[in-house]
Amino acid sequence: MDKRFYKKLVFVTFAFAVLLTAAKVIADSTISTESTLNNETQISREYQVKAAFVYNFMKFTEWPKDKKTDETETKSKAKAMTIGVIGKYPFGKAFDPILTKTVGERKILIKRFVGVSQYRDMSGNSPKYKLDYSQKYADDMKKCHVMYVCSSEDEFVKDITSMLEGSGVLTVGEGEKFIEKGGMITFVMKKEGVEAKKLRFEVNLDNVKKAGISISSKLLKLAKRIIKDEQKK
Amino acid sequence: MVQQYIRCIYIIDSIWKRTNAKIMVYKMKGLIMRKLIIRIFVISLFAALTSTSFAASDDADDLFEMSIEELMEVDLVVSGSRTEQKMSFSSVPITVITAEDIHYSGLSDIGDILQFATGIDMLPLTRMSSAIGVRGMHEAMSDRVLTLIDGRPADSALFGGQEFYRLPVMLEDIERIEIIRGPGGALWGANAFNGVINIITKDPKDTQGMFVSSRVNEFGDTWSHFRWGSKAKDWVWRFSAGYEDVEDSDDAGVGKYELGNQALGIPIGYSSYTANDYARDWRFDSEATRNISEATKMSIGLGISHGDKGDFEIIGYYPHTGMLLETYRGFAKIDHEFDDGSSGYLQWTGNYDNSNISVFGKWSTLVNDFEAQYNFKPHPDHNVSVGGNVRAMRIDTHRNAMEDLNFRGEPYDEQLAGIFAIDRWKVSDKWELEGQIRGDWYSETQTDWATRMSALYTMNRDRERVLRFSVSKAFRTPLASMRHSSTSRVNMVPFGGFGFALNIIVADDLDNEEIVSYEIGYTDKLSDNLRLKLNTFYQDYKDLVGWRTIPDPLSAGRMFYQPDNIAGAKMWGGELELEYRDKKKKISGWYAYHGFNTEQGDQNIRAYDPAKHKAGLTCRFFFDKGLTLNTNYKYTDTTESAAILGSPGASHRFDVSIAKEFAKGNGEFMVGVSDILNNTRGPNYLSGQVAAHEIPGRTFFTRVQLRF
Repeated sequence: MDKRFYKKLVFVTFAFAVLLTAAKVIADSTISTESTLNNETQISREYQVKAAFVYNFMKFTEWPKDKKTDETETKSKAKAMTIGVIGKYPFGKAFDPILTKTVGERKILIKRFVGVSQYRDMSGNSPKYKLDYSQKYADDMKKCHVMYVCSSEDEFVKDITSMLEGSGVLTVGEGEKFIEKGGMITFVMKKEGVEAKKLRFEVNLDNVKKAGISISSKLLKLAKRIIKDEQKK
Repeated sequence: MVQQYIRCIYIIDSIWKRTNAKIMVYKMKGLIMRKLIIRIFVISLFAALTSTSFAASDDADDLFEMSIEELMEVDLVVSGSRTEQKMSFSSVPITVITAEDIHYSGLSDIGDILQFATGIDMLPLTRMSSAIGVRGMHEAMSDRVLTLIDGRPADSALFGGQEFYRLPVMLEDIERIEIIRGPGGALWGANAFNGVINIITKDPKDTQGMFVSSRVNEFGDTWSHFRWGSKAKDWVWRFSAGYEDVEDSDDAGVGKYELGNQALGIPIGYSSYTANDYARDWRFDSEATRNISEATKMSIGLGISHGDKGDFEIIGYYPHTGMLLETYRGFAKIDHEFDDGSSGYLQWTGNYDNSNISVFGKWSTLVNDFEAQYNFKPHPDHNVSVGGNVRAMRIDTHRNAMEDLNFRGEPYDEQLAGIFAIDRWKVSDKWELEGQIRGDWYSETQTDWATRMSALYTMNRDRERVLRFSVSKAFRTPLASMRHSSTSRVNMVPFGGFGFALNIIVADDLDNEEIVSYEIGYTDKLSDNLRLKLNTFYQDYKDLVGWRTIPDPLSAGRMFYQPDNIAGAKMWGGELELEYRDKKKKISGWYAYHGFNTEQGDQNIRAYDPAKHKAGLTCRFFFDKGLTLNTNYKYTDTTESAAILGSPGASHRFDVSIAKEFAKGNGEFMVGVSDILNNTRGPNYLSGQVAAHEIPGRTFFTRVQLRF
């Protein structure tokens, strides 16, 4: 085949690839404005790894026997465990593989909750927005086994953990301050140093115990920091 | 083959269903033409997929099979596949220089840092430049290694080589440098010939607050860096500015010159030479990102560098004037995650270089590159990426003097376009295949293609013990400087003074250089803290462009050189890497053997051969109270080359630095000494140089850094 044919083939194929990607960007951006909660979000490797961590945490955790669960689920799902995710959802499809996994014999469900920050914006910054939010979502949130608090809710961590107090929900979040504001397990990642770009986790054992939850010593051994009786490891 | 064909049909069918679903949406929006476009693209994709093998890497499913201990060790790299990948599962031999390695080295120059990486050949040339090659074939502008910044092209559009000294990047803004050894053309196109050096900068969200760094050495050279990172609403940004002032070797007291060919001393005016390799540079770099929606992220950036540097002799001419090097780089990128879990990006990169180097002349290059990539999973066992780029280049040159290079028929308007497809196929629990294929069209030379086919065999459950087999092909397109440059001094009347002793004749048609590589690699996690990597290879080169010597028609003792596809070469060898790390220390060592033979005995390849034996050792100890000791050692065997460049002898390089944190880790003070074992280095020659000079070796330095 002559040189011109190759030139045309390269240009035509490339042009189609660009157009397809552009068309998908435009089409999906348009669709995404219709609903905030139904958006799939950008998956980064970091959140794929975090999702796998959460799955592992569940394997090493025991919940109180009287833990309330969601009875409205179908019979087959009645035994399922629920991971709640609150706030701007950064996991994309990262939790998808967990839907085929089990902890013991129990299947796992993912439930997404609008964040307090999002609810505040949606309510036009109403002075009662925290109360309204609590009335609307707290019951459902308390039925989860794990509540992942996304970084979009940083300023409401204390509100969320107070809301879940005594309900046997393992709270997982991001950043060192999460476990100092009532959270139980938090992910940390150093920007520099030997452990740079590797995920580590810290545990506030006091908050875990208060919730009646028990975490295996094997898991605790791997924690980078444990807050216990207000003492740092 | 039949199974593969059936699988292809399955993949296309699944794509078809997915695209049909989208078309329903488009139809509703009245955009029926898109249906046609997608259909044609699917057919194109089918053609691309059927011509390659399928491959796979680890994906999210595998993470759920890992224990917490394993998850805590997940490392991320991107250069080996254009998507993030676990290191042990990379389909290419790859070495990562981390931000920590850069930081604790205390060094101020990318070239200096690169020399400690596995398999790198580095020869210091002047105080501001070095010859750097991946598995050798290095020269001042090693155009057989592709340099990228965050995956965006950063090579000279005129010469095709790396120019680290003019890149608008500050060392403390670098997240990591990924070095691919061997052909990477299937991913990155022309020029990714012997290897790829991808400089990945830190995300603006990781560089928040203010940062100040100041470094000074015993000669009074200074390097300063100021950075400010902040955020507002959906925007996160970083601005960095740096200034460096480096005295020339003469002022540092070690600029002794050497003449490569005694007979040329008088014609080139050798007696007037001084080591004038100073550098006064400032740089600016910025990047901002904005989350447009939860699924769409936009990034923009601008970088500027301005270099005022001393000049040097080349092709027998030393102008005794300074050089000016300016660079302006910009980019805009949109990343998007689609509803179906696929993702993609669109990116524009612009690069404007303005240069004034006597001997080469005055030139400017303007490059605009548009790139798109789309990643999707047509089948649970397949991860596919397709994409391509188009690039337009404008090159203007201007001669300041008769001694400058003459560029035939300038200015040049050149275009190139490339498309690629990558498939990672998880065949079974133990086997994964990865196929990469890329085609490139370049308006000035020929259409060419590159590929990499890899098979990865997992030998244990946690996928840390991996055996890899790869075959790859890549090419090097000769750029404008190689195709069009010449000297006009051949036309000058002999006996008229300087500069006619060495002459370049414009090339006849040049073909692409080609490389085919066969590789076997093995990675293993020997214990929780100890990792092993072993790579062996055999590389077959064809049509290497070198300087062919042409007899003087007047038999007047003059030398004439013409670029030509002289012949091929063979390279073989391997690299062994061991790394131990725990919370208190990192100890890593490597050894590389690189055998090399050209087809013709005295064949010029316009670069140095790889040093046959190379080894490196890095030790880093973290003591209590923020004290860190770092040492870097590198041994380089004798470096051979064709006659023009000479053969630098074996060398040892040893650096030590001690850093101490203060102000609760927000400040750091460092003292160190680089190249302890050598009072001076060199002289080492650039291609075409008749004379070269020494540069300082052992250098004491100190550095202070503060974060607010």
